[in-house]
Amino acid sequence: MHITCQRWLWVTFIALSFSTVADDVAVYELLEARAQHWAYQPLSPTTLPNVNDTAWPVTTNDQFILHALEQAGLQPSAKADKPTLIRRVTYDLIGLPPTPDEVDTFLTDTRPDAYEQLVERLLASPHYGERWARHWLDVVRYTDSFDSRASVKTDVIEIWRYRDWVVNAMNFDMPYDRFVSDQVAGDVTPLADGSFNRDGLIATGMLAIGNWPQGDADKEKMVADIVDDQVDVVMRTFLGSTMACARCHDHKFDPFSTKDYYGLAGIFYSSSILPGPGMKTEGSPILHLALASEDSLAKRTAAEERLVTLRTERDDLLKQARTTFATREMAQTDRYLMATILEDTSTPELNEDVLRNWKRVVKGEIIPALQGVSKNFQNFPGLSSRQDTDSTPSAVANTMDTEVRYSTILQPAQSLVMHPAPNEGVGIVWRAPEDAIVTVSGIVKDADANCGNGIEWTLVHRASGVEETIATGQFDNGGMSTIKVDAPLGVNRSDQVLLTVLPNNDYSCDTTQVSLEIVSGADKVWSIASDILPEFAQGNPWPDAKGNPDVWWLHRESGKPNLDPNLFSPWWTALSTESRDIQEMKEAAKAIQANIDTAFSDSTSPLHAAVQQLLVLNAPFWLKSPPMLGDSRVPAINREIKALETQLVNPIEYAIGIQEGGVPTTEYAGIQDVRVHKRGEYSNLGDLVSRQMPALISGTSQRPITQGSGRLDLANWLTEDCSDLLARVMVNRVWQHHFGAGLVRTPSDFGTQGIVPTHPELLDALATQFIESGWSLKELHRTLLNSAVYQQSSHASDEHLIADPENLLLARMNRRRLDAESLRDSLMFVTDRLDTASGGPAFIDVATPRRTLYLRTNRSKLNTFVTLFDGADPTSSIATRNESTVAPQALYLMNHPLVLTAAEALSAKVGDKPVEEMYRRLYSRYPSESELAFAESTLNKMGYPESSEALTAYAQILLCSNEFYFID
Amino acid sequence: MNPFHPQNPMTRRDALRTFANGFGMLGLAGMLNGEAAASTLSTGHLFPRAKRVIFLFMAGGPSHVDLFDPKSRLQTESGKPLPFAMPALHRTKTGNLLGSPWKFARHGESGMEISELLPHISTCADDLCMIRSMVADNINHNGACLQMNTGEQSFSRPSLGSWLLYGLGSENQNLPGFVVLSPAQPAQGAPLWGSSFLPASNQGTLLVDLNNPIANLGNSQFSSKTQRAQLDALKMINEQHAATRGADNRLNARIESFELAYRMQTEAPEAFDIKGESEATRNLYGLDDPVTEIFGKQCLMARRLAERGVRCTQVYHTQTSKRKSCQLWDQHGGLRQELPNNCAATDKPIAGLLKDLKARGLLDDTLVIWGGEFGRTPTAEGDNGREHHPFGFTMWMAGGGVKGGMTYGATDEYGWHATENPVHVHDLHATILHLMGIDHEQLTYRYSGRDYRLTDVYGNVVHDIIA
Repeated sequence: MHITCQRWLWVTFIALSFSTVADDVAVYELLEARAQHWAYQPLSPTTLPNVNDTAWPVTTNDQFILHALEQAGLQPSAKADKPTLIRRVTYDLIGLPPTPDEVDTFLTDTRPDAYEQLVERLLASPHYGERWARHWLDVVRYTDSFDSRASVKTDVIEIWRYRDWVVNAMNFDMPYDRFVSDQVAGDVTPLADGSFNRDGLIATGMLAIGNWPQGDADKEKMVADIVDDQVDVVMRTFLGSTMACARCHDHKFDPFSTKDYYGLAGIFYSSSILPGPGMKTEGSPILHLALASEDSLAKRTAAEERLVTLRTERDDLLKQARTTFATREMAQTDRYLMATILEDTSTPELNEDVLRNWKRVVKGEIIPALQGVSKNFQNFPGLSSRQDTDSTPSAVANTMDTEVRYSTILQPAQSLVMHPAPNEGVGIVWRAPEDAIVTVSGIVKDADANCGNGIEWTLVHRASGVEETIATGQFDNGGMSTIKVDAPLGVNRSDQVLLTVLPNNDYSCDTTQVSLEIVSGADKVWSIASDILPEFAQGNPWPDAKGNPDVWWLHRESGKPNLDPNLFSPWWTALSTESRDIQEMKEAAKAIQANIDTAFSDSTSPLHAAVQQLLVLNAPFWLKSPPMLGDSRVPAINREIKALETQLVNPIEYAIGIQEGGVPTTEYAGIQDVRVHKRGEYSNLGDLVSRQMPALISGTSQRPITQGSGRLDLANWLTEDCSDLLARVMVNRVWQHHFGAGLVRTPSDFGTQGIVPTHPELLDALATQFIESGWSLKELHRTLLNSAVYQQSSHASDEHLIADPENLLLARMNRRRLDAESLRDSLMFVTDRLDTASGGPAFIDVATPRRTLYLRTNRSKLNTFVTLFDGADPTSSIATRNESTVAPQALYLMNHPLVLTAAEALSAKVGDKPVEEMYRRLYSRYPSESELAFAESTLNKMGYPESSEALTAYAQILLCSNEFYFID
Repeated sequence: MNPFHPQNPMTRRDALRTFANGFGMLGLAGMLNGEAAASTLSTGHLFPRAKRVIFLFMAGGPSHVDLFDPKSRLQTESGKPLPFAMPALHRTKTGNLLGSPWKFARHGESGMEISELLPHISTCADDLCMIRSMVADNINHNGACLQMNTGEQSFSRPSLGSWLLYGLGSENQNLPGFVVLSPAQPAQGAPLWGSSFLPASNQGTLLVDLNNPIANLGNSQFSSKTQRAQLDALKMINEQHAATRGADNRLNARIESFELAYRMQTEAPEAFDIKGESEATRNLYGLDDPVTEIFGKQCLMARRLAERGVRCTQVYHTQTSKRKSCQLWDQHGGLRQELPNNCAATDKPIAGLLKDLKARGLLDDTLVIWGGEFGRTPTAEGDNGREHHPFGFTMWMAGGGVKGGMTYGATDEYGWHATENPVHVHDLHATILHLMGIDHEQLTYRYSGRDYRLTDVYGNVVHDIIA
């Protein structure tokens, strides 16, 4: 161990100790020893050690490794062969195996720098960021969701933007000091051009995803716990220092006092990740920060207000025009009625659109709505949504066998949900394909229990213009109704049964699950589940199972005219007589017209209301574009509306992160210093401590923090004052992921309780290079991967095992296992099924063929696969993952559909040289003669080639094998 | 064992790499060396009174003043205000005192007082060790459930069961050593049985579907003959792979894990299969009545697991024949209706479990624990409910070295504060570990620079209740 005692450091430290610690000589000695701890010393200048075997080292780090080996009398191992190397380095950098073609290319690449070129190719791959982001996410206790039952308000569902930010930062090789600084204070870091620092705000997500007790009624303690988490994650992640102990007492082992702790804590007490403490009886809401500058938010609000004004203005104008037009046309209702059955050749000509509407009404024609389709809704392959040009009403079908959660909605497996519009219901229509006596049953259920205020619905039987409500219901948020019609319903062919979800109060969260089943006799069944769901994206209208066309369609309430039976009954009666006597029809029409004419101006007439219904939305006379707009201002207004809508088309996006000022509406609102919490209790306060950095590194006389919370000062302190330790810690983390263990084997604890580095000079040399390279992680990878020590064989000789069983000196490469992510990704990748799309909200179903990085982690409901294969526990900071070998892992690989599906897919991919192809895909090499022979006998035993499953069974063997699971 | 270093004791890392583990992990033996040196337990440092724990968890906070802690002044002053100030820490302000709507009677030779809502448990009074002075610190479900299970209210820490498994290992390599039976997710979910920084194999295995408890035991595609052939070939391929790679115990451990998995496929389902139980046994647990069937099944499974050496089984009451909830016992309202329903669903199964364990001679070394995350206020919330109450509440234990028929500690005259012999959650944990043969101050794990233990820096063993 090297210790360069810095006198100044010691002096300032003692000065501090004087003020806070009892004057006990033993304590001073302890403190002196601590202040000399290696990790807190400046980087030592690099002096390359001498080596005997000058031919072996390729890079400077090789020289340090070899020096130690020679001291111990050991020789490095031989270089690994090329197939091993490409498999090793490919998994290391992108978390996936090389393809057979990539292996072949590398094997035949005779350029002297073939390997270096390979490293470059991998570093440039977008998958590099995905792989290395995961290592980072382990440390910062990343989770996609706090609690499977939390609402959008109290959960961090938008945090995927932070995950994507990390991926991008890695891919673009963001300088590490900037990477650190943005996560601490990106929200208050101005961009050079003065524009809004969107990415900076997203980066602070790290501070918002702590595992603090969200539902705690003791909100004061909760705020203290949040601050504690933030102090801890910053110190642990960036500086490998544990400071949390100092919350209650001066640190027992490391040089941090409670004063240091509360100096930092004040910074976080002056920042907030919550909009307020929330109700005592509920989980606290989480800040959702708009990803837009204040200026653009203000502009947006102005545009939204202008849009409302314009729409009102336009609607008023249109309404006027429509009413005038409808009133005019209503005066010839009789002509329109007759024209539906007999061509009208007289003049003036009837309006085409109005006539079409009347024809539809009279013939009971279908008017399907929600014609637009989008598949892969919310990024779920089994979700499709339908809507018209307006966003509501809408309908969404889930055709998967698992429930899905998106936004605040929980949609059950194999279900249809509908959402009404502000003034308009949405429903599903069944049209009887034959005369029948049917029973109707189903459910209406709130699929969005997290918000909204209840659901209202109706079930209507419509027969030639006459409507009868046969059931209605209303229930509170989160509730459901069972549709039950007591008596069987007699329907004639073309009668309709409509189930409508109405806009109820605030319609905005009324996503409603509906199911409907109509049964006739013993064996005729029509249902949403069987007739609509399978063809949801294709149909509308949909046929029934028998092939009768147009049995089901989606409907908007606005498609249904309200023709009062009292007014129109003469017409329906005449229409339904068998003879359909034209004269009778004419008289019926005339009678109706006469009633309209009198009742229109006579407000006391019992038919007055019925006539007024002909002048409103949904009436046949009510046209979207009546031919009477003349020189109105509508087109100009429409143009402006269109422009505004285009401007506003993208909704505001939100990030999870931090903002300046303590938790609003608490005593910590705003910026302030805090008092020491004696024994960590908020009710037991001690001295007020100025916000400041730990004295160990910055001394006791610091410049006071004058700007905001001080997070920007903290970020600068980390990257400038602490740069040496910052670099050491990160270099060690990267080393660990390339070599299987760090130079410091406790990567998040560089304190006196951590393990000292095996190669301290090497660690310092690498840290120095890292800083000099402009904090380039990719440059660090190059340095490590191009070294001779990395390219050694992992074969352990007996001599090595005896001399260095833990491989501390690296006389060989460590053999490593596929981590949970690499295992699952590989199962899909080697069978050409991995969807390599990147970014976006996390997916839920483990069978979804996307990279495991994007599989949703949830603190209350751990993912079985990830947990079983030692993935990171999302509740705490994980510096090094556990490695367990337990039988349930084997059971999973032997029996889980994920693996069986992969085996089947693999056997289907491998062509006429199946064994060779499998070896190439899984092991990155060709099988030997004896392996081929063994494979043949195994396959034969299992019934190959007669049995189609034999090849699948064989594929599964290889997927379970150690050669697939381990990386040499 | 490292064949090249016979003179050195095996390090924990070696051990982890050497043994293929079933569901279990290394026990005491593994803690004696290497990385866990700071947590060295002297072998046989305590005489274990219990070998396993069954923790019956009434999620939501069962009302102590209506079930186990009768208070005459609460009855006589019902409707009047609590005559002293309530603690500053409260969720919602409660009203006046609410006398229990139910009668209490004395039972057994001990004369232990138990509510009329629990007629079956009352018949086991002389086996119960009732602690009427429990104290916890958190007034919300999440924090309180966390504390009762991990000792810590806020942060991620290993659960009681995972500490037990880590410290003692499992007696049955073919079953999980720590099983959680819960048809619905209790408040907070996974962290209640998580292993946190302990090796993941110590975490509880959650069984939600009582009819199909363990995942991946069956193969939908291949016959067992084909699967056997697969494993034979796999073994050959793996052995050949290992032969060319020098000594690496991890390779062997993984080879072994597949063989173990194959054996488990036949043995594990049997442990959960209650079909073979006699009708008398089934009726004892109330499987013949829909009201008691669900929790009865959970309790019967717990007994089968105890028989097979599972170290810790936690039985969460989260479903009745009427509803599924993470907080069934959370009677903010509906006290007069829901509390009797909960009691009806659990009373007979719990008594059945105690009697069955006793009849099979298992009660002596099985520690049964009953309780929730806190009790409920003696004062009323609305006119038919009670609020959360961690300041004084009741839990009981039975078997496993505790004194039967004992009532320990007391709350004040209204059932509010624990006044006599308060037992904090940390004390309860210390006592449970003690009964299992572990000194709670010795069972530690080094994580990020600190030695952690279940009881943090607290906890006193309650020696008075130990037989």
